[in-house]
Amino acid sequence: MNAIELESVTLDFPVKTGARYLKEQVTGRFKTQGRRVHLRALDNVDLKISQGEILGIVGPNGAGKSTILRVMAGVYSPDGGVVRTRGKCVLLAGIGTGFQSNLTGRENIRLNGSIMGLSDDEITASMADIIDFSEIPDFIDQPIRTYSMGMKARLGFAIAAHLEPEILLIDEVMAVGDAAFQKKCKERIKEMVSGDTTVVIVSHNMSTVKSFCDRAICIHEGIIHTSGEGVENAIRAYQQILSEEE
Amino acid sequence: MGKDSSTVVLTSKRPGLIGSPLTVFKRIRENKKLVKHLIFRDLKVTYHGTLIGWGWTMVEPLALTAVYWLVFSLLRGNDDPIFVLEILLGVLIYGMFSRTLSRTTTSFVGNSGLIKQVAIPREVFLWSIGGFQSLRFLLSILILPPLLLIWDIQLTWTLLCIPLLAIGIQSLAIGLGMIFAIMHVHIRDVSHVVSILTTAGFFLSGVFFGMKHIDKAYHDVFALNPVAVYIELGRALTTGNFDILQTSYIVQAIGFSFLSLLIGCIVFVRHEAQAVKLL
Repeated sequence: MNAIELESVTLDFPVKTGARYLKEQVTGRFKTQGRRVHLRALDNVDLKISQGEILGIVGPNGAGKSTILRVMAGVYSPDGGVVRTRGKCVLLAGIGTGFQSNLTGRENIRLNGSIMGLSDDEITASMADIIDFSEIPDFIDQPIRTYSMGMKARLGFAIAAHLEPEILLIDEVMAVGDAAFQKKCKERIKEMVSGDTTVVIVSHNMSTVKSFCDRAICIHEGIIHTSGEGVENAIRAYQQILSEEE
Repeated sequence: MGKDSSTVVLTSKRPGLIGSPLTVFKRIRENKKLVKHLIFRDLKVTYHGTLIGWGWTMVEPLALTAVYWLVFSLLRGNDDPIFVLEILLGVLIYGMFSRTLSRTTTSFVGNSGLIKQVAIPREVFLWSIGGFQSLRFLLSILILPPLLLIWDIQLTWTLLCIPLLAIGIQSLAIGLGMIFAIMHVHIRDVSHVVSILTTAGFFLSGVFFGMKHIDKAYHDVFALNPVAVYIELGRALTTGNFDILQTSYIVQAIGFSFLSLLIGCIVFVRHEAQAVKLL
């Protein structure tokens, strides 16, 4: 059974006309519809991800990796084609987004948990675990504005780590906090992916993709270049694109 | 993939004209707890670190009343307490409308970080602003009964209907805000234009004067401004004096609110997906 299906998905970003000509010459990827100019971020993408599968997405900057993840998460609606997802879907990106600096860590857990789709009861039940995981129990009743960047990131990841989604979409968030906390994060993600959770990981770190993923795809200019043929194949395609660009 | 209750299907199709308002109300109902959290977040953040917290919602209008009383009663010699009460009501009602409109206009851009990271219905940001400003208004009007007693003005049962006024005003403000929020994503000047409009509206909506100060020949024109009618209605509900306010004006204002909310929902639902891409 597939947890995620993308059928002929196309996504265009509107581009301000002031930048039109320069970008048109550089990438040649613009199409015009009347007077509007669009950048095609995803071009007729077909992708099926089975339940419990761990898929890696690699590709150069601006290839469409984060965009495809946001389409799966429902942040962006496709301009063409269909996206189907089955189960509670959580996107881990920009850890700690939405924190209110004047509220305490505890109040932010409640607010952020609610934004991420947790019910009041689920937040109450997870509160102690989240505080414990974040390793900042002494500061949890202090306003977030007194936290260091690392502390905010740890709290953000701790909330995200307790969401228990059926589909987990990870966008480059493995490098949170110090080395010890990063190890803890990776272990937590391993725990999450070891169950029935379907996971999609976007990363520039090839060792992360190799160690976590069952399968990987390489995306470039909104088009999938490899699929379904193992992690090494995708990484090879990615490295080839990088060498061609150099 | 078979379709069941947990399956989410996303396409480029948008709900139709009738479906759009229904979609908005469905999303708000499904996310009412999140709306509640955002309302209390705003309440906490707004009054964070202050000595009396949300007590400021009552102290602010009381202080304003003292200023108006000083200006109009002592300096201008108008010792009619109803006049001060009318201005206070005008300030409270118009304040709720203008703050809701200006904050909903910038809400889409202001919450861009969250909107680009989490797939939550974006309406919740606008509706929570409306909810917070309504709550603030409702707390503010708690000062009315004691003021009426101090000024020896008879308390009437119609005073209990004042909270209903918030529904009409906020439907108007949120509806307009949904349109302006989308426009603001495309043209950032919109927030400045709204700021000018709300300032102009302050002087055109009868905050410092009432229908009774206008020539009767112009009442129909004045009543074309629904905010002005709601302010008059607030005054009438407080004093129990409906002599000057025609029922047709109230019906017309409610019609404007309904229309504003309807058009706002249609514009928002049909254009928010494209607007997200411009954040």
